Amino acid sequence: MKKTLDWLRRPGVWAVTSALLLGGFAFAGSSEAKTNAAPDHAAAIRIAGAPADDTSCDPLATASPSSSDGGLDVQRIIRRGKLVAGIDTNSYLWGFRDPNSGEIQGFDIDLVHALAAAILGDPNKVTLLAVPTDQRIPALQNGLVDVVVRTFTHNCAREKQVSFSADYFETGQQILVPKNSAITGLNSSIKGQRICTAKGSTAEALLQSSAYKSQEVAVENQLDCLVLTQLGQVDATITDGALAAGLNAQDKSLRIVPGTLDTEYYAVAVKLGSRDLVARINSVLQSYLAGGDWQRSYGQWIKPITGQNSAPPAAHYTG
Amino acid sequence: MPSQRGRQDKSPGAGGLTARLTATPPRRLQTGAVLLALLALLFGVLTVWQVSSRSAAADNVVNHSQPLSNDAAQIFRSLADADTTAATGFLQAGQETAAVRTQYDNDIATASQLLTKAAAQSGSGDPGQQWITKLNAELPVYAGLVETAKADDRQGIPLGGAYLRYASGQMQNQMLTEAQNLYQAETKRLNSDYSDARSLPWAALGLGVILLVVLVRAQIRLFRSTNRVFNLGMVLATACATIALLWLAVGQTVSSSYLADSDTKGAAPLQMLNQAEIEALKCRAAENLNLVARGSTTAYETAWDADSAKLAGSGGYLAQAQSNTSGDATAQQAVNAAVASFHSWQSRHDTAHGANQNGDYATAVNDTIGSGSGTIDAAFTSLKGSLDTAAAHEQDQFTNLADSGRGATSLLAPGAGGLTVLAAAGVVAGVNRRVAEYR
Repeated sequence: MKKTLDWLRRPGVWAVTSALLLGGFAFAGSSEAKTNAAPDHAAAIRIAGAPADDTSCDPLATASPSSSDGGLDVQRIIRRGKLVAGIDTNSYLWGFRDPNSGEIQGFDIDLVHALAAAILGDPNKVTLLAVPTDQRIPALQNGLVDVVVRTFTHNCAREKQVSFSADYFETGQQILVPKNSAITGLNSSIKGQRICTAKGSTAEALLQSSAYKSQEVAVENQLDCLVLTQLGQVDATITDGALAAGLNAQDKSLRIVPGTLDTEYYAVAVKLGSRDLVARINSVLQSYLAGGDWQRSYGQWIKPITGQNSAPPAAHYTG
Repeated sequence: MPSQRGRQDKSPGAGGLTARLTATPPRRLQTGAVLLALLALLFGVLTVWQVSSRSAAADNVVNHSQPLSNDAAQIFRSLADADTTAATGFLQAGQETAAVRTQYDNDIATASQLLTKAAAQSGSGDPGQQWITKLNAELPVYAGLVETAKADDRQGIPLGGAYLRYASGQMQNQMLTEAQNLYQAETKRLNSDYSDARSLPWAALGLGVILLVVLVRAQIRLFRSTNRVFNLGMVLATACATIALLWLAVGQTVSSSYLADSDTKGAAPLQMLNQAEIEALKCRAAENLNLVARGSTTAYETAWDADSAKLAGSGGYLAQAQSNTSGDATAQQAVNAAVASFHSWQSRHDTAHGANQNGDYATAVNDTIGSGSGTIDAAFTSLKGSLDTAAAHEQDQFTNLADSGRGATSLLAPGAGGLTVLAAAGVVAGVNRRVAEYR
């Protein structure tokens, strides 16, 4: 009964009924439920040109070593009591987090601890900040980090934006392929092959300037190239030899094509013009090398993979 | 009237037929009665047909398109939740808890079951079918990628994180887009069934009005030619036609109004709540993946900013859900609780993000996936709980109102059909009495 009465109170019942009986028609509009468009997640794929390298400078040149702690930039670190370092946590052997222990380790990380030990007297007085590849220079410019020790290639284009220490590692672009691959170098064997590089990297620029047409696949991080290789979506990866060794270490079914495509040097980067800090770091690097720490670290991380001996290039000190 | 029909058949032409049918006053009466009775029956047939098709559409809303649309939302939710949970489990590394593992397994199982069910319920020409097929093929691939990521991670190599980000990219960019398309296809069908069920049967109503007008005019003419005020058969016919027309008008209007309410007070807010929950899951996934990425990209923090604005910004899903449920205290309370939970989440997110920016990864991870009352996880769980409460309430509202809408026309088709047959019989009987007076 209540239901019946309830009906009569429904909106529109009387209106429509009386309108009908009068011979008129009332129009009942229909409301459509709103649906929302799919949130757009497709990221735009942008191929940024790699910093064009020029030969206007000497990439081995750097400030003469000095063990003085008097400089402004060194003093800022000492007053803070911590060295803030921009590092990578995804480069196997260079700077990576062990998922089980949670500890960040690698060849670059050893160097950061050596810097802290020399400047602050304690290798653990460090704050390790993970910095994305494209944020390395902004992080220094904004004062977010004191140093960037992150497989950072010392080249002339970058010298206009940041200052570099003496180079601590020599490497060159290399090609990483599955063991049975027919690719022999940046030659006709890459024609039509799917080649993976990191966006904005030297490798990308090399590939784009190559005379041989390949299918370029650009990803955020060179580690993504390894995923794509394992999933059969790319045929080869071009990256720094040092990083290629790190990738190779994670997948032994790959091999590195012999020979490098160019010569590059890794250096510690600091804010542009921090000459006192560069000089202090160079002095640390000198003793790091002389004391055998460099070889010890190399032997622990890199040599087991490359099987080759190595030493940093001799620096050209300028005043 | 078999003798009359016999003569009709022998008539040489249409002109002759009309002349014969209208030759004498009794014939004219009889012809008029037959036409009137046919008109009444036509009204009956039209009513039964139009009411039945609307009832069928309303049945479709309740039994088919609304459950399918809700299932599609559930598929979307399960997939998004699987992605979020996979990242949580990954961040827990070797210490992945049983609860997280079970939740991930359940999400994959639910999505898989619902996809199978949806595939069975939709025909080959169904617009959602293509998305179901794609998702069915991609789901096991996704699950495989997540397992590879975890296996690599347990080996202590950074590749695991890259695998998980790849898996999540497949989920976010491809699978969730397809799930969204499926959801939109099903919701579109729901809306189309709704409008079919809610449209008023104008043809039947119009014919009913015409029938009444003709009946009244016929009685006035009868009164003038015979000077008898009431003809019992004709009065019965008029009464039956009036009741049938009123029943049709009221029944369909009531039904349409209930169905409209089941949409605005049930299905529509439910859709908004589904969207809100999906967006919340995306925020949570972005937050977790930002930690999985270990500083290799800023893309996930950007995604958090965009997704959280869609969820809780002005005009976002939560705000829309608030306005959608403004007339309903129970739902409104739940949605307000969800908004409050989001505010705690946002402030805890900022704290965790700050820790991560300062290089304190362990604290950031602990703040983000740790359990306890003051954690991000607690805020997120309570947000999800509130949205689920509101969604369950809206689902009940939908079912009740839609059932009332269907109930309003349940006897209408047979009832109105019977009444029009009675009306036709009344016309014939009434006129035959007058015809008898000529003999």
